[in-house]
Amino acid sequence: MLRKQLMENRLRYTYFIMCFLNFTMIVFISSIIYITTKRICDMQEARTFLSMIDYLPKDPMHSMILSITAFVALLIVMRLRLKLHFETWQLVLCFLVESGLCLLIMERLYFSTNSILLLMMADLLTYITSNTYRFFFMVVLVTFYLGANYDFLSARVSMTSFYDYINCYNSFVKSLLLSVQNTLASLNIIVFIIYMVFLVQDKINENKRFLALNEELQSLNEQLKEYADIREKMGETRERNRLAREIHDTLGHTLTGLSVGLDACVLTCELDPKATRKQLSVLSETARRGLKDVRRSVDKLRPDALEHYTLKVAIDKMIKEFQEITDVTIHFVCHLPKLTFDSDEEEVIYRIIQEGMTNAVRHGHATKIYISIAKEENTLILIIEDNGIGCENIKPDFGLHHMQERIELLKGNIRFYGSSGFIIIAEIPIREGLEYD
Amino acid sequence: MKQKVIAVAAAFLLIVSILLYMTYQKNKPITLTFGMFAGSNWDVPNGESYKIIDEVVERFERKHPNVKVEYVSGLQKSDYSEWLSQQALKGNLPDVFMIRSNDLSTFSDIGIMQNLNSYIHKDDAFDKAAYFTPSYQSGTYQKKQYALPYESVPTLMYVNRTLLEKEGISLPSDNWTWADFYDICRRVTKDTNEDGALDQFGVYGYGWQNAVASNGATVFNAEGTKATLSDERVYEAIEFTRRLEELNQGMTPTSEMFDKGQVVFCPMRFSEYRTYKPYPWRVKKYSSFEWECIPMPAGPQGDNVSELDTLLMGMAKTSQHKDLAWEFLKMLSYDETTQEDIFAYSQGVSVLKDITNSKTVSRYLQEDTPGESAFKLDFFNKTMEHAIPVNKFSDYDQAMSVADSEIRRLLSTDEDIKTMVNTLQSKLDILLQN
Repeated sequence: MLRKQLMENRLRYTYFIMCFLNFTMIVFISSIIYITTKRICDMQEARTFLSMIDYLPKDPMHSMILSITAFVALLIVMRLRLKLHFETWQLVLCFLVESGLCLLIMERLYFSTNSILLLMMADLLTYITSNTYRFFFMVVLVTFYLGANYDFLSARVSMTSFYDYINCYNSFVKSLLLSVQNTLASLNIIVFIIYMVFLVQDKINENKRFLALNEELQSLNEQLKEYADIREKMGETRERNRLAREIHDTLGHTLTGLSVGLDACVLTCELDPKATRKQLSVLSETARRGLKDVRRSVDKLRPDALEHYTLKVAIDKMIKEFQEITDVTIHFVCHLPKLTFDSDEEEVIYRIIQEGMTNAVRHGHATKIYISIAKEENTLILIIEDNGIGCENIKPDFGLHHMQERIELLKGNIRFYGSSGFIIIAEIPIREGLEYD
Repeated sequence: MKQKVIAVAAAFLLIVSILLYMTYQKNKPITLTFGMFAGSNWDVPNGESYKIIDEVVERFERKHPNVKVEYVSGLQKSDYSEWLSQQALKGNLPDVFMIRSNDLSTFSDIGIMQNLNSYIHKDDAFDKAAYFTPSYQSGTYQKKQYALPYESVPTLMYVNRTLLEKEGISLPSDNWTWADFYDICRRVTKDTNEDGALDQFGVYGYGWQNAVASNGATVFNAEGTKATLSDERVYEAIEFTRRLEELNQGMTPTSEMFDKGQVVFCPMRFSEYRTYKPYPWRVKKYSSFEWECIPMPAGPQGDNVSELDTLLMGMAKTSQHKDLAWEFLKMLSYDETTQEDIFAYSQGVSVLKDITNSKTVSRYLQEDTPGESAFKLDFFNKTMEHAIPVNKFSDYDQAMSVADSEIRRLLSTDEDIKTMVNTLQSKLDILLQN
C-alpha cells in the first residue's frame, strides 16, 4: 500500500527533495558568507581581506534574507503556474519571472552555485506540455546554466568569489566547507537525474496507456461503424417494406379494383351500356383516387422544403440560406404570377436551381448568380447565369448529367454554355390544364 | 447619488493622501553619513580636526534644510582603513568618506568608490582647473576620478640655518641642484669634537626615491603594471645617492641628530613646518636652531620637484543619495570657505590654487608666528604645481619594499648599478604582472 503510494508520488517526492537541497544550499552559502564576514571584522582583517578580493561583496545579512525570500517566491510562482492554466504570454511572463528570481539568488550567492536552475529545469520539463515551448525554454535555461557559474563569469566581469570567504579559514575547515558545498551540489545533480529518469518512465508509461486506450477506442469505433451499417441497412429495408406496403395498399388495391371493375365492364358493355358507363365513371373515379394516393405516397419522398412550402417560398428560402452560407449575391427574377406545377415538375425545377447554384460556387467561384423563370406558351424556361470562371469544355460531370436525366424525364431539354461565366438554360414543357387539388 | 458622493470623497482622499505622501517624501529628513578619522593625516599633533568638518556640516545643513549629516567620531587614523573596510564588508559604507592615498587603488578596484567622472562632467559649477594638478591627480586611478583632494602636503627640504651659517655657507637658492647639494654635504660632514668619529652630517632621510623623482624619472609606470627603473636617469639618481652616502664613511645619521642640530638637511613634509614652526609646538622640537625649508635639489635631467601626499574624499558607489553626496564632497573639497579653514585648523595646504599661493601661505604662517621675520616661500606655487603625486596602485607597497631593500643594499656596495637595476627591473615586472 505504502509502496504503491510511494511509486505514484515519486516525482513529487523527488521534487521536494530538490527543493530542500536547494534551500539548504542557499542557507549554507549565505550563512558561511555572513559568519565569515563577522569573523573577518572581529579579527580586524577587513582591510587585508579587501585587498585579496576582486569585488566588494554586498551586505551579507541582506543577501541572505533576499536570497531566501527569492527562493520562496520562486516556489510560489512555480506552484501558481501549475495550478492556474496560463495562456502563452502568461507562461512566458512566468518563465521570465522565474529566471529573474533564479538570477537574483545566484547573483546574491556570487554564482557559487547554479543548482537552482536544475530545479527550474525539472519543473519546466514536467509542466510545459507544448514541445515548441519546452524546447525554447530549455535552450534558454541550458545556456543560462552553462554561463551562470563563477569561473565563466569572473573572467568577464570582476565579481566577489565565494572561495575568497572559504580561503579565510585554515586548511581543515576549508576542506570541510568545500566538501559540504560539493556534496550538496552533487546530491542536487543526482536527484535531478533521478527526477528525470522518473519523469521519462512516467511519460513512457503514460504513452503505453494512451496506446492501449487508443486501440480500445479504435475497436469500439469499428463496432460502432458496423452497428451503424446495420442500422442503415435495417432502415433501408424498413423503408423498402414501407414503400412496398404503401404500393400494395394503395396502388395494388386500386389496380385490383380497377381490373375487376373493367373485367365486369367488358361483360356488361354489350348487355347494359348505361350501367357500364356508370360503372366506368366509378372506375375512373377510383383510378383518380388511386393516382392521388400514389401521388401522396411519392410526396413523402420529396425534398422537405417542397413538402412544407410552395415552390416559390421554397426557392426563396433556399436562396436566402445559400446566400447566408456563401458570399454570393443571388438575383432571382420570376416572370410568372404564380409558381404552381406538378410536384415532379416542381421538384425538377427546385433541384436544377439547387444544383446550378452549387456548381456556380463550387466550380465557377462565382460571386453573382442570376436566376430567372419565364414561360413561353406551355414551356417553362429556367435560366441560371453566373459571373464565375465558366468552363470551356463542358463535361457531363458536375452533376450536369443528373440535371439532364431529370429534364429528360419531363421531356424537356437543357443546354449549358461556359464561355463567359456559366449559363444553364432549361426548357420544361408544363402539363397544363390538369389541375390537382 | 449617495454612491457618487462616496466615490468623489474617496477620490479626493486618495489625491490628498498622494499629495501628502509626496510632500513627506520631499521633505523627509535625509541622513547623509560621513566617514572620517580624528587627528592629522600627516602624523603631526592636531587638536582641532573636528572643527572644519563641524563647520562644513553646519553650512551644508543650512543649505539643504532636510538633510542631516552624521559622522562617527573618535576614529584614529591607524584604525581608519580597517574601520572603513569593515563598513564596506557589512554593506554599511558612509555616503562620503575620507580616503587615504594608499587605499584608493584597492577601494576603486573592488568597486567601493563611485567613479565621479559623470558628476564632474555634468556639474557646470565645478572646474577641475581650480585644483593644483598633482592634488587632483591623486584622486585619479586608471583615468577615472574616484576621489577629490581635500588637503595636500608637499615634501620640502628642511635646512638647519644655524649650522649652515656656522659653516659660513649661505642658504641655497630655490633652484639649486644636486651639485650644490653634494658640495654643501661634503663641506659640512666632519668630526667636530675630534673623537675620530663623524658627528656632523650633510643630510638625513634623503632616499634614492627622492633622487629619482628630482631627476625626472619614476619607479613604476602610472598603471602599476611595469617598473620603469631601466633608465639612464634612474642610474644617475642611484649613483648620486651612493656618493652622498659614501660621505658618511659608513655612519648613519639619525633623526635625533637632526633634532639636535648636527645635520644640515632633512626632507620633511610641509605639515611639520606648519606644526613646529609656530607656538606652542615650536618649543617641543627643533628649538635649538633656526631652520628653513626650501625646494628639493634638482637632478641634471630633472627639476626641483617634491612628492605630494594628498588626503582624499570619496563617495560610496552604494550611496543612496549620490547627488547630495556630490554636493557634500564639493563643499569639502571645492568650497573656498572650507579650503581656507584648512590653513586655520589643519597642517596641510588647500588644494585650490586660489587659496594656496606663495602669498597666502606666507601670510598664514606670519599670523601663526608673529614677530618672525618674513617667510621666504616664493617657490611654493611652483612646488605645488610641479609636485609628483604619490601614485599607489594595489601592489605598490609590496613592489616598493622589494625595490627599496634591493637598492639600499646596492647603495652600500660597489656593484655595478646598471646591471643590478636591470635585474631588479625584470624581477619587479614579474611581480607586478602576477
